[in-house]
Amino acid sequence: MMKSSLKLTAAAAVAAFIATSDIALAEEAGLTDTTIKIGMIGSLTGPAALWGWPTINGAKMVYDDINANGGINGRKIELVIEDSQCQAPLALAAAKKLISRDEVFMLHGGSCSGAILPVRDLVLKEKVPMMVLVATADEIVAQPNGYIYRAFLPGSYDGEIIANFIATSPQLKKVVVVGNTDAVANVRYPKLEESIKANNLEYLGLEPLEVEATDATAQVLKVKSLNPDAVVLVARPEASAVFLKDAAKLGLDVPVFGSTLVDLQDLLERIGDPKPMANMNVVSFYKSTLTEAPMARWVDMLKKYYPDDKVQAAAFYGTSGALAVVEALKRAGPDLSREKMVQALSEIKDMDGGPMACSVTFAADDHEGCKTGSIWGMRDGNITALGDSWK
Amino acid sequence: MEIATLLSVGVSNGCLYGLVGLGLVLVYNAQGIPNFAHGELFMASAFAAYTANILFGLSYALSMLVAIVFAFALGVVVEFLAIRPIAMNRSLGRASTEVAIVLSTVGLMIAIKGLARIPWGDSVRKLPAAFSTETISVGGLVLSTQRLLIIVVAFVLTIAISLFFSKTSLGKKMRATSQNTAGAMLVGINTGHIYSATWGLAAICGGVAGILAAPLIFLYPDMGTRMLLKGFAAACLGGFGSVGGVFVGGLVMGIVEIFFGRYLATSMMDIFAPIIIIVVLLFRPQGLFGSRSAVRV
Amino acid sequence: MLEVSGLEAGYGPQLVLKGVSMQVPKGEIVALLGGNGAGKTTTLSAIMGLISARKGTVRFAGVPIQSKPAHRVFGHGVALVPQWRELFSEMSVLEHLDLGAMQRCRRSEIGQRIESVLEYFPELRSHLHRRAGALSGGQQQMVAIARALASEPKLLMLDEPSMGLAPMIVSELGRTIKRLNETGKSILLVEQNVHLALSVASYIYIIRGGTIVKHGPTVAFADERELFQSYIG
Repeated sequence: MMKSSLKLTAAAAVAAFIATSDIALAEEAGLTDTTIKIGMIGSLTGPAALWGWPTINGAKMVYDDINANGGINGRKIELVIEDSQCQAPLALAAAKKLISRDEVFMLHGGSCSGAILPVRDLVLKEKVPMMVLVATADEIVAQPNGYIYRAFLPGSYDGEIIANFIATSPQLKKVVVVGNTDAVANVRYPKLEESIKANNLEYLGLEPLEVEATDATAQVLKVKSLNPDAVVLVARPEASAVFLKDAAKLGLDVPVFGSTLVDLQDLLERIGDPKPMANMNVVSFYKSTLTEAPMARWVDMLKKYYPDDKVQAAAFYGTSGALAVVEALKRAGPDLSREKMVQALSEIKDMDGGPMACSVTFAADDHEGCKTGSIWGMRDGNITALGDSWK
Repeated sequence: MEIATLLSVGVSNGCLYGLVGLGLVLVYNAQGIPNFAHGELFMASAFAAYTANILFGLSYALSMLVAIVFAFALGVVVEFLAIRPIAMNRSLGRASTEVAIVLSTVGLMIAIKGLARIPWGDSVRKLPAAFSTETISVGGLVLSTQRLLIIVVAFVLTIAISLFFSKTSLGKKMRATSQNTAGAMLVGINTGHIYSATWGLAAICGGVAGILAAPLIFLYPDMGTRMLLKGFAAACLGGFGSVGGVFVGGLVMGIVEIFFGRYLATSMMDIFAPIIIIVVLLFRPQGLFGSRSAVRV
Repeated sequence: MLEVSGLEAGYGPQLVLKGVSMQVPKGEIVALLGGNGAGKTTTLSAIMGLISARKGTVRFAGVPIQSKPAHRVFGHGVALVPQWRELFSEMSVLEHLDLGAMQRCRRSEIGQRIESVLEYFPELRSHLHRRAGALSGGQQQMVAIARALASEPKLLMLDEPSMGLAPMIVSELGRTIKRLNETGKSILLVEQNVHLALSVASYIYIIRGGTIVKHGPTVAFADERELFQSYIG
């Protein structure tokens, strides 16, 4: 009797343990019946702080809007935001904290490619779904990768878009590249050079321009001596503005094509003079300029939730990612899990990119959702979307 | 024509390097240490000019004056709060005192930059040029009026500072203090005041460079870092000695750098300054113009 | 003129002066003698305010000066010619005199002041525009004394002025010290050169191990050799 009751107690205990641990397994981190916890990582301070809050808020406004309209499948989105200061060790620490301490369901973050790259291994090991916020390096999302997605134009694709665009003009044959040599710029060069050559254009080489350049006289004169038909400018906004000003001053009068690192409106404001901008074109993520109809919905949303934020190009870099996250959460249904979320993301096809010119399509073996952009240029002093061929 | 263009840019950049270098040399001679926060004085003055001119709407000339006064005040305050307590601490040996002051300037560099990021970190700003006509054409050569201004101001300021040191009693006291602090005390010089004045003057040199350079570049909290390196290279070339030597060191830097970039490799332009620093320190620590005995170690 | 009583001072944790008391009456030459490490230079540094006194008082013309920094003590009319001269090696002789004078006289009087100092050291006239660092040891000593004199101090303190000088120059120095005294200056002379001290001073203090071990008028120390052997050597 004693023995059997002991056995019974033991069996009951084991059963109870198995049952509870089953429940523990079923209960995904970061989920309750009424909330989904998402961790965001941005460069809120440090050298890239310029893009910190604007990009976070551009994604956050989508979540705010969803919450204001009742949430997804009865759950509201709860955000935990961490600062990476654009530094790898801090980005990694932030991701670790979000995953282990805050136990978030997924991550939506990264605004400096170099800083967020080390986070990739951690995220893949921990099997946490992640949407890239604004980091552009291809390697972050490259296969094999079961968990990390991106819903805006990655770094290397703008080179292809520019080269294809230049090739549509019969006058533009010889192309020289001027650009920074930091990580963000370097990811763009191989595909740019390959695409220039693939379009039967003559590639005249790469002229380095320092990120913190205060003067580009040497570069402009050197480029002039090569006598190119077009210049591709793969530089951050500060250096791009310096180059354009010196190009105008020293009479380098050829079309210049900027990467997604710059934005026409922003450059115009920086330079404060339309003259050096006359030859400038850029690859843009967006459907239209910020003042035109296709962007109105997103500009209005920003004004509603973040009335103090500046309406600028950087404000909407993260928006399409949030839209994809929301779409996948809806599709994954109320019985949510990380694996279901990843599956739902991979099934998104031809989703409207929101402010983005592309439509978002993921596949199980391709997590780059957005591969097209459009070229914008200055026409009659106005920023004009040109599409994909020379006008 | 191309050479003239390169020369005009090289000389004006060199003038800026020389001014920044001069501020470094002043502090080095007084305290025996490189001031790592000097680039931040350059940055802070540019933002002071911006604040006065753009935010408070003061006239351009008045804004420049405000920025220069601000630079001087910042230099004096920094010396008083962060340097003097360490320099006056007699429980440290001379070597430890110098190490402690160097670390203090590194801390200041990070702190001032960090403070500047609070109001200014969100965007890049622009200070208008001193003249509304941005360029003038001389015989087909296009010259930037701002760059011409830089050259004129740098020349005048360098001569003024040379005269200040050789003719005025404060200048003589500053030289005396930098050459022999104990000797200076023995002729009744309040060396504490002299250190304040030295930091103030050094900050003016950096500040003038900052407000002259600002219209050519953009204003952001990290703008001083690069300038510090260039100014340091100019000071090394000049041998950390005479006012004129540093100025010529800056000119050599500016000119060689841009010709090097144009005709050899633009990728090398910005590693040029650190290379100069290393080469000069290794092979000619007294600089191009200094005599070996004049080097303070 | 100068009254030091119970003065204690030192460097860092080390206490060098363990209660020094001495006086320099107005218009007298007083010598402070002692061996290496006895505390001679430390005494002068503490009086001058180069190091701070931990205990005791220093009064000059009745005013307590023991807690004042060097430049303030200098302002009261005390000048020190330090053992290592402490010249400004890249500055000219004239600039040294200029600096010595400028803190304690009006700008218009500086020229006159320098002229009167040069009367003691006519040799410097031909070197006025040379760098101090380029002068001989004897000339540098002249510059150091001349710089101190340019402030027209009431008390002149000389720290081993004979050190490193040739015997002929030392006797010349002795004459100069006497001439200075004749114009009414009080002088505190620190020396290891007993001969020089005995030939100029009217009163002698002997310091050893940071305290005054003996003092009295010079006539009481008639035997130079004995004095040297028992207290200094």
